Amino acid sequence: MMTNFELNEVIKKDIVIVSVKGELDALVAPKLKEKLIKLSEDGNTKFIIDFKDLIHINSLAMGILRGRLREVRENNGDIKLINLNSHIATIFEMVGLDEIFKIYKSEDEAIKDF
Amino acid sequence: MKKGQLSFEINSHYQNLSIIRNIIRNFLDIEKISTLDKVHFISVVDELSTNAIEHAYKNADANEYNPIYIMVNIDSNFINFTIEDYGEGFQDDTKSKDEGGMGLNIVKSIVNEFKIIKRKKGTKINIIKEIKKEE
Repeated sequence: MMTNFELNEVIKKDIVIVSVKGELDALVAPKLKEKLIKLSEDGNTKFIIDFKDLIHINSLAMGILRGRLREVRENNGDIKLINLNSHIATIFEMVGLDEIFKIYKSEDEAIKDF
Repeated sequence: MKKGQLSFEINSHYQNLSIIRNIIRNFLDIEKISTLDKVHFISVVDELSTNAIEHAYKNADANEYNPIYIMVNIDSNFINFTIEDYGEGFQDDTKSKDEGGMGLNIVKSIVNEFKIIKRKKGTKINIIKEIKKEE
C-alpha cells in the first residue's frame, strides 16, 4: 500500500527533530504515535516536530500530538512545532491547539527556547 | 455527469482516505476553486470520511463491501457535499478513539451549514460551504 507519508528524525544535542512529510491522515497517524512513544521510551524528552513538508493533517493526528504533549510535559520535556503552513496553522487554531503547543517559525528559534 | 457535479461510492476503509482526497482534489482543480477553499474543503471531506469509516461499519465484516457514498455539487459560490452510509446509525454519545473528538469541530468551523440526518440504518451528513474560484 503506497502512502504519501514519511517520518524522519535527527538528533541535535539532546533534542529530537521529527520531520513529517506528506499527508497525515487517520491511516498513518498511528505511525506518528508509535514513533513518538518509542523515542520517549528511549529516554528523549525534548522534541521538535517539523511540518515544513506536511500538506494535510487529520484531527486524529492532532489528538495524538496533544496526548503525547501531555505525557512529555509530565516528564519535564516539551514538544515544539515548527514550519506550519497557513492551512495547517488555521486548522490548529480551529481546535485551540495553537494555545497548547509552542509554535515557531524556524528550527533555530525552537532550539533556542529549550 | 453535469459540470460542477461529482458522485462516487467507495469501500469504507482507512486505506481509501487518500483516494477520496485525490478524487476531491482533482475535481476542485478542474472547477478552479481557490487554494484556501480547496485545502479547507479537503479537510472537511477527510474528517467526515474518517468519521464514517470509524463508526458506520465498525461491527460489520471488514471483508465485505461496506459502501460510503459521496456527492458534491458546486452551484455558483457554494459547494454542497453529502456523505452517506448504510451502517450503524449515528449516535450522539458515540465515542471516538482517545485522540479523536475534534473532527466535527473542525468541520463546523469551516462550513456554513452542517446537517446530520439520522436513520435507522445509516447516516447522511450534508454540508454547504461558500467558496471562491481562482481569478
